[in-house]
Amino acid sequence: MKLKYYFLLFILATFVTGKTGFTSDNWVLIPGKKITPFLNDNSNGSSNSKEVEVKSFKIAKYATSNLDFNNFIKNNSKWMKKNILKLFADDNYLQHWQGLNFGQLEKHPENDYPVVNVSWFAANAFCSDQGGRLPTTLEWELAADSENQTSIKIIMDWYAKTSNVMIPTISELRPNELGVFGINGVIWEWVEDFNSVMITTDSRNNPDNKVTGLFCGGGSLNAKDSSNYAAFMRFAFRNSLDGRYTNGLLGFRCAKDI
Amino acid sequence: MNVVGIFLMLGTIYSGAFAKDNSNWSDPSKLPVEKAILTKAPNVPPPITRKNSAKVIVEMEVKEYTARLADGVDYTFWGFGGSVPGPMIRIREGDYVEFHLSNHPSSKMPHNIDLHAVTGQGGGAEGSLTSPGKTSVFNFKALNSGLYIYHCATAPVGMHIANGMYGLILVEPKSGLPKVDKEFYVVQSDFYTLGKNGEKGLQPFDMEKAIKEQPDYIVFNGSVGALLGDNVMKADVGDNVRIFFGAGGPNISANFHVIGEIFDKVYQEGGSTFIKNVQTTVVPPGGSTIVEFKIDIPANYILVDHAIFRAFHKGALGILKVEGKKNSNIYSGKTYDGVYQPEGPTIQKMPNVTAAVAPKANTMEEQMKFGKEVYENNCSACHQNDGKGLKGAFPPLAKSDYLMNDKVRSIKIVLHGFQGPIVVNGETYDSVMPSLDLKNEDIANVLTYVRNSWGNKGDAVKEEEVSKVRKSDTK
Repeated sequence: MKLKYYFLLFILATFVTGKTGFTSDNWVLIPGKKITPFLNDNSNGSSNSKEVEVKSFKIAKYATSNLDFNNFIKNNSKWMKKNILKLFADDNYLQHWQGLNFGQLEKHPENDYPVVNVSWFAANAFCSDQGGRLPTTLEWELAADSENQTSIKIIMDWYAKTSNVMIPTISELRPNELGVFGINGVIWEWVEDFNSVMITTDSRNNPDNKVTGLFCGGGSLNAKDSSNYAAFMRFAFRNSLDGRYTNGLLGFRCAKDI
Repeated sequence: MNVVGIFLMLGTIYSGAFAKDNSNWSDPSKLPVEKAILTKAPNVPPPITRKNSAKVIVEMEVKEYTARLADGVDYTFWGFGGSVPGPMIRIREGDYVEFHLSNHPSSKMPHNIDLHAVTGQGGGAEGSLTSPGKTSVFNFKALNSGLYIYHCATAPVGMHIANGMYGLILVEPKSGLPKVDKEFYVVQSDFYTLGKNGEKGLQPFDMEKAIKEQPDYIVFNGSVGALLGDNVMKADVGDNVRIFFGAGGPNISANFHVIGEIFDKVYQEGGSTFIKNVQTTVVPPGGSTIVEFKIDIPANYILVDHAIFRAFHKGALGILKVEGKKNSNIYSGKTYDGVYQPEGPTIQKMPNVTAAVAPKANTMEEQMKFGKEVYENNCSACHQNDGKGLKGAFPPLAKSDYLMNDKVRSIKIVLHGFQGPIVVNGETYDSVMPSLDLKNEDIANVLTYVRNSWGNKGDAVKEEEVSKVRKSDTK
């Protein structure tokens, strides 16, 4: 599965122009760190407190907005709703844009809201176009300061509300301690390796190489903190996705190497 | 036509009309196809009359929605079929089920379903993880008959169940269930809110309380009062009643009891055999039971968790209202109301002992003080310490128009008891209050207390007023 995406990424890269839409102000430096992943592959009998090193990287200060994505599409017409291949997005791709012409309405009231209803492929193409990439799960979790109790509280409050509550614009919320805006409690965000969570290295257990660990609490045995429900929900959500899925609460932000 | 042809023809007729067991058909695509009828609690899908296996299509949607958990208390539920409990499913042993699970596009969470009726990985959970705005399909064969819980099993499982993701699936045995007159669907479950029981507003899920297993609410069918007031279950005298009862959890076992009735049969843990004559049956979280009883006399039969604080303080209370002909040979009601004298009627008083005389209230403050004691000993069990009563069962006294509008009427009710429908603050109550056999002075004090507590403002009730009503009523 993962290999397929990298392969597609390679193909897509040949299509993109070298345009950079972000100024340096729009990136936040996240210092590298050794971290213990929330979920660990312990299928080979090792203890589950394995540390992993994440190198320093930059992440977008804001989630990608409707306007950002519209500007990208203007120059990359294959990602328009009418042109996109079914392989790259399901039928709900950009459905909230119906009747709106972002190209002409530069001051449209939804311009500053995070873009949603985008597939992994579209998000990935956008980030490549900006000279970046999607963050990995570990990078995203680090940038989201996801074990900070404040972050956890924001997320749990978000889950407690139904989604008919209006989402804020990309810059409306206060930044977290790292200076990243709205990464918790607004929308879900794509990560590069969303579908690789808990793939065991021993493919004999899992001949399809598919993720099946996150039902019936199966994940909790491998989790660092079984009471971090916010993290469980995030991993379960990623686990339910496929690269072409789109969703009214699923957007993204980009990352890049230093 | 040769002999073989006749046999074939007879075979065809036979399979259509009689109890031929088709469950061994190896190819489900050859089974007749039907769509399952799903019902919201307390309604039950109709009994299955066919005598053959079928391919049954079940279509279920998951929704996240905000709704009432108790009066003034809202909660964001995650519900199969957009309800708590989820819809009841009824199939037959040997059926082949094609299960469609759809997750509403407005959902934040992915969801799946683990049906305890399924033999297979995760009870179907592995094959049904569904992202918002998607539909998953998986198939299973119902190998075992019985009454089974289904629930969401997406991580964190506890939270998905705590938010309301459970329901019942009945797999009828091939021989069917005995015919009854009324069937009901009731699920007990526990909820954990950030605020205490009764704290108003939209209450978020409280994970710590859930881990400590300290629920604020324990309810039937998803909210306090879901089986009270306008929503009581109804039956008639002579009916055979069957209740399909499940315990959704996440944590708390149910101690299912119906006040005033004995279960003739209990299919313990939802299995195939029953025991007879049961008062209270324990149902574990993720378990079920089927109870059956014949109703002999009219009454409001009260469903409770007999760990009784759950019923009167956390919400596990429901009513089965039965109308019909009374039968005093089975239950008489009160036939005698008199003074009890342990020493016997001949010794009225020990001459040398002065009876301890209770202090008499001389002021309004004293009336309030003594009235409060009378209230706590006689009234608060039903009307509650805060005078708010219990919606659908016991009318409120606090800010009650019915109480405050007519002083003489309230004296009469405390004197003689009361039965029948009344409207209090716009809500109809139809319960029984017994005659409490209180002294005139106590009645005066307790009425003064309730007429001047919890926001009520009224004048004091004098002992003479009570005595006057008592005299005029006994004439």
